[in-house]
Formats: sequence, C-alpha cells, structure tokens
Amino acid sequence: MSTQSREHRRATSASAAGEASLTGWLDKTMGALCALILAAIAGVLCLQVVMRYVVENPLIWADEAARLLMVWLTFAGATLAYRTKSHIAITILLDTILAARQDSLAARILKVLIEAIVVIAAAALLIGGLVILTRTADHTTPALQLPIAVLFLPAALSGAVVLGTALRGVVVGLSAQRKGGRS
Amino acid sequence: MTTGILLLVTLFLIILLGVPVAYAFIAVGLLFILLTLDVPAFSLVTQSTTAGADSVPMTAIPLFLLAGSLMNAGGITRRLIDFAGIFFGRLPGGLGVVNVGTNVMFAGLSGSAIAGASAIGKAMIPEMEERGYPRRFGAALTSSASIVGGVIPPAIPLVVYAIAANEDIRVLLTAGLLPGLLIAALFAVTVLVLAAVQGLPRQARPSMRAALLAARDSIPALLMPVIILGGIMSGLFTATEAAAIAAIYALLVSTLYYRELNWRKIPAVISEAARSSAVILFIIAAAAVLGQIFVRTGLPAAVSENLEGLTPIVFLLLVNVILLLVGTFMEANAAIIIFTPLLLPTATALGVDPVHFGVVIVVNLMIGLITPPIGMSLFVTSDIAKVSILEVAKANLPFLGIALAALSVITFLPELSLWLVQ
Amino acid sequence: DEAPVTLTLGHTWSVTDANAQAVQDFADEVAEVSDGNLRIEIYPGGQLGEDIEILEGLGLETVDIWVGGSGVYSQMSPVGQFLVLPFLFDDLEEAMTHYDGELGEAVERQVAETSNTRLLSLWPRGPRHLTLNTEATTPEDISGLRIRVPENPMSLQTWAGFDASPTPMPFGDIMTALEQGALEGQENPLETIHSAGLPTAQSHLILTAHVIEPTALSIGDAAWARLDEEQRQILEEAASGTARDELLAHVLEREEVLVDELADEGMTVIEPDRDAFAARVEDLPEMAGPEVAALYETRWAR
Ligand code: NA
Ligand code: NA
Repeated sequence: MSTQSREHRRATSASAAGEASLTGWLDKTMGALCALILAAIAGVLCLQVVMRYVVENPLIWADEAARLLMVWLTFAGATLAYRTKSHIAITILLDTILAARQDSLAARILKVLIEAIVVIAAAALLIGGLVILTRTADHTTPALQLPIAVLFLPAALSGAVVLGTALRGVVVGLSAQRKGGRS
Repeated sequence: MTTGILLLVTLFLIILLGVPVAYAFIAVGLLFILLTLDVPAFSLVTQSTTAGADSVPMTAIPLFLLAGSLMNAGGITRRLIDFAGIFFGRLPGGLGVVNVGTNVMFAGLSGSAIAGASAIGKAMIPEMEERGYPRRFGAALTSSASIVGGVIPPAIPLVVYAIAANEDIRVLLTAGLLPGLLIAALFAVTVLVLAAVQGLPRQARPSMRAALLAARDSIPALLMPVIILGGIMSGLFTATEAAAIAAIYALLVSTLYYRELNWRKIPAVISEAARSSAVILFIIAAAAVLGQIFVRTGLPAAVSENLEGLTPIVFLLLVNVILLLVGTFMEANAAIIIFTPLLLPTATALGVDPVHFGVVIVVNLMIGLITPPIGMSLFVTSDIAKVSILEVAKANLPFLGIALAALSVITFLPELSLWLVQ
Repeated sequence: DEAPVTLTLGHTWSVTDANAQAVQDFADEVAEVSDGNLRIEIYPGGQLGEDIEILEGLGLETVDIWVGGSGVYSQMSPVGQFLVLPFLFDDLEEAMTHYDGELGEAVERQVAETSNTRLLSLWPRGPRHLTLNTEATTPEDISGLRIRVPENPMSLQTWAGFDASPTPMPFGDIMTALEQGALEGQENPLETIHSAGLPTAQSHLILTAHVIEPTALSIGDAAWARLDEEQRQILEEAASGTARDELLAHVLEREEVLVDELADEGMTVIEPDRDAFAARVEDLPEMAGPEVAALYETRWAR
C-alpha cells in the first residue's frame, strides 16, 4: 500500500466508524464527553417529540439546550479530532514528499508550518473567547437563564487545548529537525 | 472582488499545504479580517465560529451519522447485500447490480457517501473478486455507487447546503431522492451493459427459504428510510426530530433485534460518530468566519454583478465546470459551505430554484468523490482493494462518464429534483 | 476636514420590509446631513447574524448599530423584560407618546447603565395579537394551548400566566409547526400575520394587543466613542427624525386596513376580554425585579 493512500485513510477516517482508539486521560475524557453530548442531543430532541405529541406540553428549553450542546459537541469533537489527527486535510503534498524520502528535512519543515498555522487559529479562538467572556460576563441565555459563558467557553477551551497540543508538536518537530540536521 | 479572489487563492494554497481545512478557514479568515476589515479580529473570529455551531438544524448531521454507524455496527450491511441479492443476483453481472442496490439501501440509512464506500467496500469487494470480478472493478463500482449516499436522504451534504442556503432541510432531503435513484439506476444499467460486453458472472438463484429469511431479516433496517423519509415528507417530524428518532431506532434495532451490537460497544460507536461529525460541524462553524468576510467585503454582490448577463442554463453549466474542478481537490462539505453563499444570490437572481441549485451542487461535489487526485471514495475503496488509486480511477472511467451524464440530466431537468417537493 | 466615519448597521428584515425601508431612510438622512462625513453601511436580512448576535456584536465592537425588537435586550439587561411587559399600553399611539417622553428617557438611561450599548431611538411596531384555530375571548379559552412565543423570559411568563403552553421556536418554523399540529397558535403584529401568510393556517384572529414591543435602534458604546459631538447629534436627530415619523404613519395606516384584509382572507376577527387577560399577568412587573418595577412606576407616574 502506498504511503499516499495510508495518509489519506487518515484524512478520510472522519466517516468510518470506530477506527481510532483513544489513549491518555485527556483524549479518553473528551471522547466520553463527546459521546455524552451527542447522546444528550438525541435525548433532548426525542424528549421534545414525546412532550409535543404525546404529553402535548412542549419543553421551553429544548431548542436552546440542543443549540448549546451543539456548540459543545463541535468544539469538544474538533479538539479531540485534532489530537487524534482525524481532521479533514489534504495531505497530498506531504505524502509526495514522504514518498520521495521518509523523514526528510522538507517534510519536517512542512509539518512545522502546518502546526504553526493551526497555532494561529487556535490562538485566535482562545484570545477571542477570553475577550468575549469578559465582555459578556453578566449576560444570560434566554430560555435556561444560564450564564452566557456556556455559549462562548467551548471556543476558548478548545483554542487552549489545541494551542497546547500544537505548540508541543512544533517544539518536538523543531528539536527533531535539529537532530536530523546534525545526523 | 480582488480581495475575495485573493482570499480564495490563499485559502487553497494553505489547504494544499496540508493544514486541516477548518483551521485553514480560521487562520486565513483572521489574516484577512486584520488586513481588510476595521473590526476586532479575534472577537469576530470566535463569535462567528461559535454562532456557526449554535444551530438546531445542524443537529441532523451528527444524528444521521450516528444512525448510520449504529446500523452498520449492528451488522446491517451483510443483510442488505443478501436482500439485494434476492432481486438482482441472477442478472448477468448480478453481483455488480447487487452492489448498486446495496448502496441505495445503505444510502437510505446513512447520511455519508464515504461511510457507504467503506462499509460496502469491505463486504463486497472481496466477494466480487471471489466470484470472478476484477478487484479494480469492484473497487471502482463501489466508489461510484457510494456517491448516492450523499444524495438519497438522509444526506449530510444536502443538510449542509440547506444550512448554508438557509433553506428548509426537509425540502432539500426530499428533493435528493429522485436524482439519487436516477444515478443508481444508470449505474445498474451500465453494469448490465458491461456484463454483456465483458461476460461478467451471474449468481445462483437463492432458495425460496433463503430469500424469505433474507427479506425478513432486512425489514427492520429497511423501515428506517421509510421512517425518516415518511416522517419528513408527511410533515410529522422536523428533519431534526427525524434524525433523533432515526438514531434511537437504529440503537434499538441493532441491540434488541439484530443483537450484533453489544451494549458495551455502544459508547465507543457514539463517541466515534460524535468525533466524525464534529469534523464536519467544525468546518461549517469555521466557514462562518469566511462568510462574514464575504458579506462585509461585498463578494456575493460582486460575483452577481459579473455573472448577471448569463442565462440560467449557461450559469448552471459554468457552476458545473467550476465545481467539478473544485471537487477534484476539495472536500465536498467544505466546498458547499464556501461556494453556496457566493453563488446562490446569482442563482436566485437568474431565476434558478434554490432547491434545484442545491441538488446540482451536491451531485457535482459527490462526483468529486470519484475523481482523482482527491477522490475520497476512490481512496477508501482502493485502500480496501489494495489496488492503486490510478488503476481504480481507470476502471472507474465508464461510471464517471455515466455520473456526468446523470449530472447533465439533473441540471437540465429541474423537475426531477422539484417534482416531489411541489 | 476629518476623515469620514463609516458605521456598520445590522438588522434581520428583508430589504423590502417597511422597517428595512425606514432604516435605509435613516441612513440616507445621516449621509445627507453630515455631507457624507458619516456613512452608515447597512447589512440587512441577518447577514451579520441573528438579532441577539448583532446586539452582542455592539459590545464586542464587531458591529456598530443594531435595529431590531427591543425585547432582545433581555439577554443582557432587565430593560429587555420591561419592553415586552404585557398590557402596558392600549394602543400604539399611546405607547409612542410615552416612549417619546419621560419613560423613553428612563429606558435610555437603563440601557446605557446596564449594557455596553446606547439607545438612539425607539421605533414603532404594531401591537401583537393572537391567532388560533378556535374561538377565544378569555384566558380560560386558551388554557393549555400550544402558542409559539419569541424566546424571551417575559413572553414565556406572560403566556404561562394566561395558562397557555408557551412554545419558543424560531419564527421561520411557525408555519410548518402549525401545519403539523405541533402548535395551536402564535402571536405577532398584524403586519407579520399578514406577510407570513398565517390566514392559510389559522382561522381566528384574537385582537389581544397584549404587547406593544418597540423597535430598538442602538449603537455600541465603542462606536459612540469614535464619533465627535456633531456626528453624535446628527445620528440622534436622524434616529428620531423623518424616518421614524414616516414609519409611524405607515404602521398606523396599515393597522387601519390590516384587520379587514385578514378578515377578507378568511379569518374570524374576535374582540377578546382584554381585562380578563391583563388580570392574569398583573404581578409580572414586580416579579421581574427592581429595574423593571422602577420603569413600570415611571410608566404610571402622575
Ligand atoms: Na443518504
Ligand atoms: Na475529487
């Protein structure tokens, strides 16, 4: 099997169920959290169908709860997907370089560059999230009357975790490059 | 306009570097907000991304994906293949037609084409080889037939389009049914023709008893599309509620009826579905940043101005050419979310129905799944078949041609998409 | 001369809506009076997001001006609850007289104190009425009925007070929900009932006029700080100038004919016992906290 298709299976594993297993407490916790959130979304929506058609007394908070859960699912899932490298990415350039020579300098530079761009995006989410959280500190959600932080916290948290993970990746990549340069 | 073109070019370059698509959207978006807009860039990025995820209609995406995963983990693929075998197995090239039929049924449970390519490919490519079909042929056919998964409801790309276009998800899902069936029918005919030309084998007639068993066994699975589509089309449920009910139904069928999904495995299946769908959800959310830049720099209006003299047909042809090119190297949902806000205002201004337009865009980008260099379905099946992508792509040429023919029919015959929704 | 200032304005109406037209007139007047020194760039139809996102955007400095239903303020300020209190006024003219006077000033003060935005003006919008598929004149008649309400705690409490079953959902889902029986009724101004085609889904129009929610025209504190004295004055005068007067005249004129038009489209028009409805929600102003109670007292002062 070519390196190319192996790399791409990683890129496409987004849609194939149950392939990657989670290691480490952080990923396991996030994996469990994602499952709980998705189950909660299904539960809330089904409960709403029952309340609407059977009990005939719809929940006033179901829509808002589903929306907030979606925000948490999106950011928690995206963070986990980053850590397990299952985001959709077009790795053809990296694959070509790797196919030419494994562990080449060009490949390591490219990897660091990719991580650096992710660092910028994650930093934007973290900084923007912190600014918004400070400025909307006393606002509440309309139906559940929760602090609005429940809406904006996921972006900031995800930014922080991805930033940490990516920076670690860049440091490891750079030190590997230095080693590689010497050898 | 210049800013917009510059933004798209930068975006494609960054994506081609290998940056995950969603993070590329955010990083490039941040850069362009800093350079071209007079607003706090970090706040706008985070507010837009959050607002992009803050949506009830979007719950349909993880729930349709979860329903498909649960059904698949519950051993559904094998049963669908046996069921299709009753009807199509004895035809010349029967197993090929069974492949197409299984893809259609799987499409009725699953919202994702790639999930279909993976599930059906794993089961059928080895079996087809055993029965005398070249391995590259099985891989090619599976990848092509899988694209109906994104068109026949439930279909995540149609949901993504409906969200980007602010259209009713129920209407879009219903509109996808006939075009999806048309594509499948054309593929089936192609298999029959190829079978006649190349002399492909047929299967033995299954015993009456085996046929009845296979039929009985697949009924609960086949009820799922009925529940989803029936519930949606009759107006009994919203698309979101139908998705939630489909997920719960899939859970019950695969644990209590088929009993192949152990309760202890369920958390892992849900967790994986959550992560897989979050990948798509995050692309949609991050694209909201680009949406803000498009709106604030007046890009859709500029596109409209440049295209306003076209006739609807010429416009749709142009869209087909652009999106077929885009689809060769870009992921479908990401392309939908970027190009819908840019092209839809022009389409509406030219009198193209937004629902028909959505079907055209989605079919177009589903064809992108079977065109190299970045054809996700091709990758999946070539990996399963252990045949090089180039070989599969070559074997796939007849089906690619047929898919393009189907696209022309769908483009020039709006009634096909709109008949069920009017 | 100074460099011209451009302010971004977001709202969620389509460009053909009368409210959107008034916003356009307001922007035109600002540009004209300021000699092009102050420009307002309008993003209609929710291009910048839902109402609540645009309003949040004023504080985050991602948008400068928002025009929309003032009840949306309830997410960030108690004043948003006051502005949708039921049975504050009998008709639109009475409401606008109060919002032009002391009450309007008190509302403005509270907005300035409790949010990082500033109210430029309150614009008229027709009273909200109830539509159903059954006859109703008293709260007893709507007991337990599923009525769609905007996602605002005060609206929810109001309809819970009437003993209905208030159901918050996005405006765009109303028709489907009515058709599939998920809702038995909804409430909106006459103009909205008409333009949304509700007569095809509902048979009865109950003229409850339970809420008169003015439209808020708000600017973010940060955007306000960017303007000089002259520009501020131009903005404030235009906000309460011709555009607003013409909108009021238009709304009043439409209110006259809309009931007949809706009747022509097949709706049975009913004058309900408004006092019976009002009696059910008398205690809401007090329950909503000191800020709302203070504004309520201003309303009934003298
Ligand atoms: Na499907
Ligand atoms: Na492609």
